[in-house]
This record gives sequence, C-alpha cells and structure tokens, in this order.
Amino acid sequence: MQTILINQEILAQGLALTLALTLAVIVAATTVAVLLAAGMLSRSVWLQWPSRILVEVMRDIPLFVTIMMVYFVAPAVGIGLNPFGATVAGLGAWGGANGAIIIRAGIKAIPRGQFDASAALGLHPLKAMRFVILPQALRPILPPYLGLVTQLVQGTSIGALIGVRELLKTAQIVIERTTIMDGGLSPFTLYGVVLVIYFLLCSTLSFASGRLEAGLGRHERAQADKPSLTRLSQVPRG
Amino acid sequence: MIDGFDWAYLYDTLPALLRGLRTTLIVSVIAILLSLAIGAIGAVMRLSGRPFLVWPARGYVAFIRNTPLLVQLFFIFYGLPVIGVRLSAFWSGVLCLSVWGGCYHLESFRAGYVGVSQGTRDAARALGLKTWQYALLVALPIALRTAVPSMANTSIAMLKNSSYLQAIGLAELTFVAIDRNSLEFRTIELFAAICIFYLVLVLAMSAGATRLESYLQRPFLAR
Repeated sequence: MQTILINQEILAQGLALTLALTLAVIVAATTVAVLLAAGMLSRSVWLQWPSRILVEVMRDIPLFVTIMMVYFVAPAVGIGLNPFGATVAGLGAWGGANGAIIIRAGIKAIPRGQFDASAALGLHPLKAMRFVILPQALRPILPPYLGLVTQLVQGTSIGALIGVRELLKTAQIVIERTTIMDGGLSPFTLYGVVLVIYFLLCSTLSFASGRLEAGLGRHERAQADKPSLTRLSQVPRG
Repeated sequence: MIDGFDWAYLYDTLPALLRGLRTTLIVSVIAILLSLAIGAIGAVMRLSGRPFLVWPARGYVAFIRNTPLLVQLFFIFYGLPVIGVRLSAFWSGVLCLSVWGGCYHLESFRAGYVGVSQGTRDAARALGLKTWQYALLVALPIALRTAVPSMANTSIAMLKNSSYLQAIGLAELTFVAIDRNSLEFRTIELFAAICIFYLVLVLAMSAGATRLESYLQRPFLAR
C-alpha cells in the first residue's frame, strides 16, 4: 500500500490518460459506427456490401491483433501514428464495426410503417430520421451501446503494450521502479489496484446501462426479471 | 518499404505460423472446456438460492465482466507468484481465459435455465419429479437449447482473446507474427497471414455453431 501512496501522482496521470483515451475512442468508434451503419442500411448495393464485409472482417479479427496491426502496419505504409493514435484508430475501427451492428439492429427494429408515414407527411428523409426514427431507435440502441463503451474502456489497456502511458502502463512503470524496494510485493498489489480501478469505472457504466435498459423499456416490465440474453449476446467481447 | 507482397517469404514462414496456430488452438480448446465447467458450477451456485453461494457467483461475474482481460492476465502471470502461485505462461493463459469465459458461460446457463417456462416446472412437479430430477432431466436439456448460441459466441471470443497471451510471451499465432516482424520487418505479409488464419477459424466456428443450433432447434419428439 505504501508503494501506491508514494506513487499516487503518476498513477493518477495514468488514469487521466486512460480517460482521455476512452473519450477519443468513443468519438472515433461512434463516427465509424454511424458511417458503417448508414452504409449497411443503404439501398445501394455498392455501399451495402462493402460495409457489410468490412464490419464482418473487423468483428472477426481479434481486437488485440487489430491494435497491433494498426501500430505496426501504419508506419510500413507511410502513415506516421504515435502509440496514442494507433490505439485510438485500432479501437475505433473495432468499436465502430461492433457499434454499427448495434445501431443497425436498433433502426431495423422500427416498423416499416414509421418510415412510410414520415414520407407521407412529406418529411425529408434526414428530418424523418432525426424526429421520428432516432427517438424510437435509441431505446434498443443505448443499453448495448453503453455495454460496448465498457468494452472500449477495457480495450484501452492494450495501449500499454505499444507504449501509451495509461493506467496499466504507469502501474508497470511503478512496478519496475519499486519491485526491489518492497521485496517483490508490488506486482500483486499494483495489478490488484489497477483491477479495482477498472472495476469501479466499468461497473458504474454497466450499472447505468442496466438502469437505462430498465428505464427505457418500462412498458415491457413483464420481462424485467428475466436476464436479457439479447443484451449479453450483442455485446462483443474480443 | 512496400516492394510488393512477398509470397516466397510467407511460404518460408508458414511452418512457424502453423506452430503458433497449433498453440493457439490447444490453449483455446483447453480453456473452452474448462470455462464450460466453471460456467456450469457457477450457474448451480448462482441458482442455488443460498446467499453464501449466490453472492460469490454474482461477484465473480461482475468482477470479470468489468475488468480488462489484459490486466487479469498480468495479475495472474506476474501478481500471483508473489503469493506463491507460480504458473507457466501456458497455464496462466489457460487459467485467465477460462476464468474469463466461465463468467459469460455462467450467465448463458442461467439465462437458459430461468427461461424454462413456469408450465414446464408445474408439469414436472405434478408428475412427482424431485427438484434435482426436474433440474437435470427436464430443465437442463431445454436450457441448453437456448444457451448454445451465446455459449458459442463466448467460445469464439475466447479463441480471439487467446491473442492477448502474446503479452506474456506464449508463442501463439499473434506472438509469432510480432516476433518475426521485429526480426524481419515483413509487417504486411505477417499480419495479413494471421488475419486470414483468425478469419478462417472464426468463420468455421460460427458455421459450426449455426449447425449445432439448427440441430438443437429440431422438434425432439416428432419422429
């Protein structure tokens, strides 16, 4: 514990970078997700199939490999990316593909009649999306999307391996510095503390996701006691 | 740096990549089997209705789901030796993956079991079945049918997550690619190769899962 108190400043900096990384990744992933979902929902075959294939491939390649690949391949093809940028790009692509699936499922859940009615009222397709479709689609989208965000928070830890000084990396630095000083105890306590910090961060998000699901789906309360299989299977895990 | 895709290089590296693939498969298969056992035991605890069994199971699920796999792995590989539990990279990887997958299997088992209709339960009781007979002979077969899709998803995720074991130096597929890359700088060839390996594995597993699902969805008594 002494070790942690002495090094709390550097660990706090690591946590701050983890949070910054998470924010950047959420922005990147959401942008990619919206574009890919729009592509998959498009009526044009030339947009639909490339986005479908892209989403499938990015979901099937392990997240770990994606981030490593971005980090190593980008310089090889002449794109300069620092570790932070590589982590954001890799996680953004992976999260985007998985987010696209969630968004598409949410919009597909809206009955066809809603689109027809908006068209009959003379709403521009974009306005129909904004005022008719999205408000309804958010109910199925938001809870699993928050689940995805917890996966993104956890995914930022991979950045440590390519040199981003986020929470896990700072813990490793502290371990290297102190391992002799405190008789080799530090890996246990420090990785333990990092686990607890991530747990607090992500379980808050998971709790919010659960509350949101219960709140948004309150007119389906009859189902509330059953664990939601759909939510479990929609959240990607690798 | 880009001087065309070097097929000859890939051909020369193939044996090393295949050795990596073999390790990936061995780790994943052992971990998937263990995780199913953990999931089953955990689900029994979770459903037992006894607080001293229910709460550890709940805590286990919440903790694993809300912490990064990579940190769990480092905790097992670097942290546990501090308290005297010293595992090789291989067994640390197996332990980490199966503890991780077990928590998702647990939830799938549970969701399947809870999803068995009240009518089925009443019918079993009316026929005079004991609780354990109901659980084992009636509820379990029905529960498995609903649980299989998400259990297959978890197993596929475990195979993909075996790539994390690169970080503790286990010579699986991703490790081979990164290791070779640091010596020979054939980044594009190596990553293309392992991506194709993973894609084929994942697509094959998904296809297998789909067949298993449709097999389990067949009407059991209409023969």
